[in-house]
Amino acid sequence: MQCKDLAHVLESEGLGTLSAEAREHLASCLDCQGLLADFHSIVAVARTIPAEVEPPARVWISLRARLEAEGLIKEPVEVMESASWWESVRAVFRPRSLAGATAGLLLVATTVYMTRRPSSVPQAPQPVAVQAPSAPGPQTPANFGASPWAPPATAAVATRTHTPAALPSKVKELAPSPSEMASSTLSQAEMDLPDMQLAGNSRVDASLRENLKTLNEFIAECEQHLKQNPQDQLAREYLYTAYQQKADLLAAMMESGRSEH
Amino acid sequence: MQALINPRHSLTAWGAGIFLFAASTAIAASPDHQERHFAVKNHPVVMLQNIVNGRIEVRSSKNAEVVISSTADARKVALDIEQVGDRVDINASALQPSAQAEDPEADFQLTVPEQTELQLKTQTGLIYVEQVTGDMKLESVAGDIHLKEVSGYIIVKTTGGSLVCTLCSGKLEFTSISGNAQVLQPALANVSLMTTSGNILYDGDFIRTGIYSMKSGRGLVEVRFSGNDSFDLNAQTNLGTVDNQAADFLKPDTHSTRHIASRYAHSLFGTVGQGLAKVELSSYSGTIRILKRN
Amino acid sequence: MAQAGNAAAFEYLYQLHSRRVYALCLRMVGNPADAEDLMQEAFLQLYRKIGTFRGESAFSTWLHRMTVNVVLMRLRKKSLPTDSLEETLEPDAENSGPKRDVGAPDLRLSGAVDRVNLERSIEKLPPGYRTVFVLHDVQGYEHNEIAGIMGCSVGNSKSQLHKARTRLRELLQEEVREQAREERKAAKTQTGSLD
Repeated sequence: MQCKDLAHVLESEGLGTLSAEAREHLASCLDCQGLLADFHSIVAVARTIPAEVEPPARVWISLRARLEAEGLIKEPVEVMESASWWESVRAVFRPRSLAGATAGLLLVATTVYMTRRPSSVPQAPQPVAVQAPSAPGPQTPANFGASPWAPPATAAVATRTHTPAALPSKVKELAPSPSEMASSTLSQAEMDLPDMQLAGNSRVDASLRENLKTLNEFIAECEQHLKQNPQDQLAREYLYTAYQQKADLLAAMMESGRSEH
Repeated sequence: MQALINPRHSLTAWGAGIFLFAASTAIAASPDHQERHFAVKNHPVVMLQNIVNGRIEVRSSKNAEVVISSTADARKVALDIEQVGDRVDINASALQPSAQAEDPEADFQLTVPEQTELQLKTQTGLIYVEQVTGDMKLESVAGDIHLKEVSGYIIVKTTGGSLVCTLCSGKLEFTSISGNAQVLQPALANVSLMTTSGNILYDGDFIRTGIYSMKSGRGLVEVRFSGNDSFDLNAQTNLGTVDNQAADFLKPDTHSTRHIASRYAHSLFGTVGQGLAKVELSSYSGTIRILKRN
Repeated sequence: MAQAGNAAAFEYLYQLHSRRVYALCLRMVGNPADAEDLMQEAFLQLYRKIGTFRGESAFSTWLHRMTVNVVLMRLRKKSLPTDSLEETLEPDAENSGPKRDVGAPDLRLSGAVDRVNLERSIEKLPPGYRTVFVLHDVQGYEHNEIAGIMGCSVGNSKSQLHKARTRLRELLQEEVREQAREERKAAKTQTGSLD
């Protein structure tokens, strides 16, 4: 690989994980090392630039005046009562902000949860042992315990066993609120779907309803499993993916209802 | 009193009337066919939002133009087509609310330059794309998506529609709730397939240094590899099973990388060949199956 | 409700999106006065056209597309060079890869990039590069979203971003060189005055 090839890789793949070939070139090319390091510096600093900046209040005042002058606003501006966040969503910006708001809520919930979750990885490394085909490890399903290859005689082969690890002594109690919050937010949104949308008999409506049912069943399954096994990170990832899919689906259902009715 | 109307004549008149009515109804209901041509340069972008239902077929040609053939009932479907530079925007929407079970439809056949970028969206019809090499983003609610000999950065998102991807290359991302994914004879360097209840089948090669992630909530995840493949395998399932039918070819991990197995999952780690690609298979409650092709 | 001209709905939309839109305008034009004008213009267009929004993209994508169009049109009127986003230049074999000035010191930027000089350098970028860089690296949009906003291909978005970063690196290196020159000059002056 040459420098220009690396430049092409950076252009098409970005600054994420590089291929083995690219890393090999980088190991021996100071110029490319400098290029990559500089790109990382630039991006790191760019990320500290605020993505949102509060505009001066005069902008809205001036804009509102122009909207009224053009007759685009049909009634005087009312002071917005401080209402619950969901009331605002439902009353004003129904279909669009559902996905955005719910996704935002889920993102916050997920971030809060992921930073607070205890490590599901045991603090000690997993024990390694040679696994005899006829004696699967304690949590190994029988059908893949049979490992036909013979371990080398001279060294311990790093075959995986699944000895249950002792829970770390300092497991924090999981705060259920982000997950419950996401779940109740989505349930609330589902209840808010217009009846006509749920009763629609077009192929699209039927498909959306069917998929909503599938998701709800899967979410219930994961939630039930996690109540008994709150440390199961894999299950948690599936659950949050399902929440996100449900938020997208509900937004699609609302949008479908809005465009048809 | 003499009959004013001869019954025989009235029957004939009625018959003719019914025939004419049926004919006119048939003619009125026949969909309108349109074809439009748009000259473009090297890398056009075609966006098609088919909010009504119907098929979308896209094929490539060597001509520097985008040809759009549409078939739709003009009384039911509003069609907007606009070109700005090298971007062609097509929108099909229903003129009246769809209160009946029969939804309005619009079918499209597009012929585009090979390196066209596509952004297609439909509800229930099939999306078919062949021999297009630009990046593409394809969305469908219940319609299936069939891709053949396409390449680029391919993003597919469905609610219930399934994906069949044959002889594709580049990078593929698929997400669905209940749709299946079949990837056949691929030359893909980066694959991410995720479906909550559908099944996944990957029957093809793993390119060296490629990254392949396949996840299903409840469905089957099946991978078939060949003797020339070289990959590290990480397969995990919570409540399902791992069906390793290629145990003869799966060696212990050769990279001395410690895979920390979840105590809640049934896991399988191993290496085929030199472990140059990375394959991660996951299913919450379905089966993961690994096979070697003969 | 916004499509029906409800004032509260308009204000709500404004509250929801104004901060991102203003930030985008500010990064694009570099001064608050122009940014305020442009933001107002973008929202006016939005409210005028809101009846035509058919949900063919995310609402925020539609709004950002309008904002970028408003900004780019204003910059074109000022006759600043704008890179066509539709051009896909073939990689120049000679110029691809990192450039190295013969005899110049190794100008790693690590530690030399701060917000002030980066923002200054962003303002010097051609508008096309600047737009993609701000959308991606500052505001965090993905390439497929940027393609929707800019009406270009994902490939073009990636290419423009790479060129933007390369150009920013050159601008920042020039700044580092300039600073080094100033420091040497200052040191010389001081030494001379002590003699």
